[in-house]
Amino acid sequence: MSTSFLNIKNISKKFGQFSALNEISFSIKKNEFVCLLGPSGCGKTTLLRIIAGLEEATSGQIELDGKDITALPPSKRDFGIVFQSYALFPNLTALQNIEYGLKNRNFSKKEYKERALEALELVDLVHVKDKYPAHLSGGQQQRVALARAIAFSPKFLLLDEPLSALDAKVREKLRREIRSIQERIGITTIMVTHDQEEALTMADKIVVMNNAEIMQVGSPQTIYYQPSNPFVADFIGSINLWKEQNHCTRMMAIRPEHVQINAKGGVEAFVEHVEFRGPVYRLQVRVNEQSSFLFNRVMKVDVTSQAIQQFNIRKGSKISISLPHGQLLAYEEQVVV
Amino acid sequence: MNSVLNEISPNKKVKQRIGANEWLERLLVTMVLAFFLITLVFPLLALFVQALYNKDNIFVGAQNFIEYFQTATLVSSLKNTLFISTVTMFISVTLAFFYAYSITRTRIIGKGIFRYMALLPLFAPTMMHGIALMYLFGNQGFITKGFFGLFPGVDLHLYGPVGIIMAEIVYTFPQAFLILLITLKTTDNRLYEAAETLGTGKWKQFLTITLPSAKYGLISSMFVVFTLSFTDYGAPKVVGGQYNVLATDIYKQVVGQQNLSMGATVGFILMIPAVFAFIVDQMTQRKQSTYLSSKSVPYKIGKNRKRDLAAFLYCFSITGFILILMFAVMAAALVKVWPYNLHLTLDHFSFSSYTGDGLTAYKNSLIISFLTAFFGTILTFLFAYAIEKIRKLFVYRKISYLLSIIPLAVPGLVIGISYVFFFSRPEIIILNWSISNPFHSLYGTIWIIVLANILHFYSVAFVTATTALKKLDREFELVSESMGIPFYKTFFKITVPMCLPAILEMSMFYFVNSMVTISAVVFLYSADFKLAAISIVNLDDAGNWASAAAMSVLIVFTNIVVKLLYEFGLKGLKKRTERWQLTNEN
Repeated sequence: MSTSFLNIKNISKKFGQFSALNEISFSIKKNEFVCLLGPSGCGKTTLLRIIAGLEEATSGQIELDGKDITALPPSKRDFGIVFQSYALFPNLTALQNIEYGLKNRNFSKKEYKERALEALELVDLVHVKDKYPAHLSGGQQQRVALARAIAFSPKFLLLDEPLSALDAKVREKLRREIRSIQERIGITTIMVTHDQEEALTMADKIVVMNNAEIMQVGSPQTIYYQPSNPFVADFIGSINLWKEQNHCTRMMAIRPEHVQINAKGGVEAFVEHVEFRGPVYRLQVRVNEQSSFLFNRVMKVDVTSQAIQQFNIRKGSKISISLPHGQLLAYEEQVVV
Repeated sequence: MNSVLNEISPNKKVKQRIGANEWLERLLVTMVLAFFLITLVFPLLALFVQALYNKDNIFVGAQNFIEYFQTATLVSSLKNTLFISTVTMFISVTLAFFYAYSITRTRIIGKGIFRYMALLPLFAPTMMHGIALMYLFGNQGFITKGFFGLFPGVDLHLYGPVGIIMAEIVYTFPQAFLILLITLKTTDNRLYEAAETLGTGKWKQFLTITLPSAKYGLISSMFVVFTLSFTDYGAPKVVGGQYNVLATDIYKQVVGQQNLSMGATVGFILMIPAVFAFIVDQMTQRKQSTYLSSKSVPYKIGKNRKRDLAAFLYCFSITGFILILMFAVMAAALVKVWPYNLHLTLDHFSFSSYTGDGLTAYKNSLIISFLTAFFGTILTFLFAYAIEKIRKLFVYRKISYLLSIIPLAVPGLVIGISYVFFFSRPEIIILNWSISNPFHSLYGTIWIIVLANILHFYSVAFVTATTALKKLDREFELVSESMGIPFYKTFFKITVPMCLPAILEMSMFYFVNSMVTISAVVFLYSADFKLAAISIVNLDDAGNWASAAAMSVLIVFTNIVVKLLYEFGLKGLKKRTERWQLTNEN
């Protein structure tokens, strides 16, 4: 317990009959970057707003650094926040936006001016300090918003879908930048996102949520390679899921890139579709072998272009696939939500 | 301390602590509610109660209403009013529709001028339209006498329904025009392109696309026009002759015969179309928005010379008529004795006759309008802010919102008499309990007039403020809160500067309307504090039409100056705000 910095304890939130969050508990270590990941409507944004104090939980507690902060209004919780819309003040320049949050604290004028500049330096935007938000690009606005949120050295940082308004190229670049800034100043961060790639590339720890519940908490690798239930398996990346025949309560799963193609000896399958995806090809194959428990089932298989050539795979080809034991995942069915 | 907190059962809801910030927010919302209780709810309750009592203060239930419908003169007033309003509604909305159509859907020149000219009547009290018509079409009128006998004259028999309807059309035309202008502006060109590719004719396009998409605007403007002419006091007063309408009845009942109960009853009847219009408007507003999506393409005006020529002539004649009215009043104010001595003079502007209190009344109107604009704008903006931007107190804010738009449904005359009923009472009796009325001291002061004006024009200004506030990111407040900045700092540093154009518009709106209004204040002014609009009525009553015209001219000029100042200020503001705005929405 001594290592946990931010503790979410049994948080529930009800809007009338509707339950937005159901007994959510997890903890975050100091300096950790945590992603709340889930489909829209899963409750992740509500949870972020409750952590911020913008919304009151129906029950449960939040502890920061050993202190209960459940009853504190947002202004007393000491966090910085960045919204999807950036929410930069349009009538203040980039620098003034950052200074604005510092003025109210016990800094001397000289000190807060320095700090604001430092924050701009951190996001590498000193050259636009006198520009108004409307004259900055989306990515620059987002970085100013980030600088404003961390300039007053808050105890933790909240990011509410900070990248979803940006286009793909900028988004990828900003992912790295946000993460490196976060590491440099070492600030505990919670980010809400619905983009699994964002979560996988940025987070130390991912909290996967669905239908007001936590589905799994773990490192990106754990979440990807050992999804603890079919929902997580299906939500993160792609997966083949099927019911095992003899055990009617068990589900089996395997990722497309883990399916192996053999010259001989596997299960025979018929290639129904070949889709080019750049680094890999995605095949859709139908299992042909009547004796197999996968008979007539459609499987997704990812293969390299090398393998395509090697086995001369085209639409209509017959191939042989096998499912390595070590990569197979098994679930008891009651876990399915 | 930690262990104590941990003992709290995790299943209990933990309320956030309340700091100074939160208290201030609560205070603000409480202020909004208190304001409406005092200026709207209590007075209307007083009116309602009054309608249930008779002259001798004995409870009679619906007796007053029964008596009303059994009194032939009163019923005939109701019929008259319905007739006037219906005819005005059809003519005014039709005229305004084609005027707005000409400006939005044709390629005529001078659109800017035509638009401003159409709004000119807004700057004048309705009495002025009546006076102008009098000088043109009255017994000694310019046109009645055929340009001093040069042509055979035309007698319209102005005094009575004809005069009232004409004046009401002039009065309501700009209001209908404004609604229809917005309606016709918001359309989707893709509909017309689709029709074009299907080979639909222009006339069919008008009937199947233009009219249906303007449906809600038409309905809304019809109700607005109907309500305005149903409740107008100024025009019937000047050109009504012996033709009685509800608005003049209510004044006679309350001020003339001191029959407060019957006054309250008429007030209730006066409110019916306004309440109805209000409900219809709230319903249609929701539907209107579905006609336009973010993907809509603005209308492209095709070439058509015949259409443009017709539209230009049409706009030109309407503008011409409005200008002729203005000139007629100016001539009336500048000519020695119409129509016998046509020498020019400024004598009428000295208001030497005792009636109407002359320049003092004008000065009083300036004071009232200034105070209304000043306090009205501050209150309205603060209230709109509280309703729009405070995060908590959801139910109270919802109620406040409702109370903020209800004044739309309360005609000025009803505000006036309900204020008489509520504020003139030194004591209020609630279920046999008598408590002294803490607001009684306002009665007879200029503050009650300011209060009545603020409430009278509140809703439109409120919508202006709300629209401006809605454009600001909701998260400004949340970000500030996270940085520990009290909301009032963000209010002054961010919200107010961003909304200055709207704030300027609100103050102009309050000022101009306070200058021209008569309906609410006719019951509330005191003998030693008359207003310009009231002095027009008094001068007209005394037959001193030249001075009445002069006073009208003064009001119109003041309002035009204020409007110019506003445009000027807006330009200055735009220059200032340009740097933090995108170089226009391209």
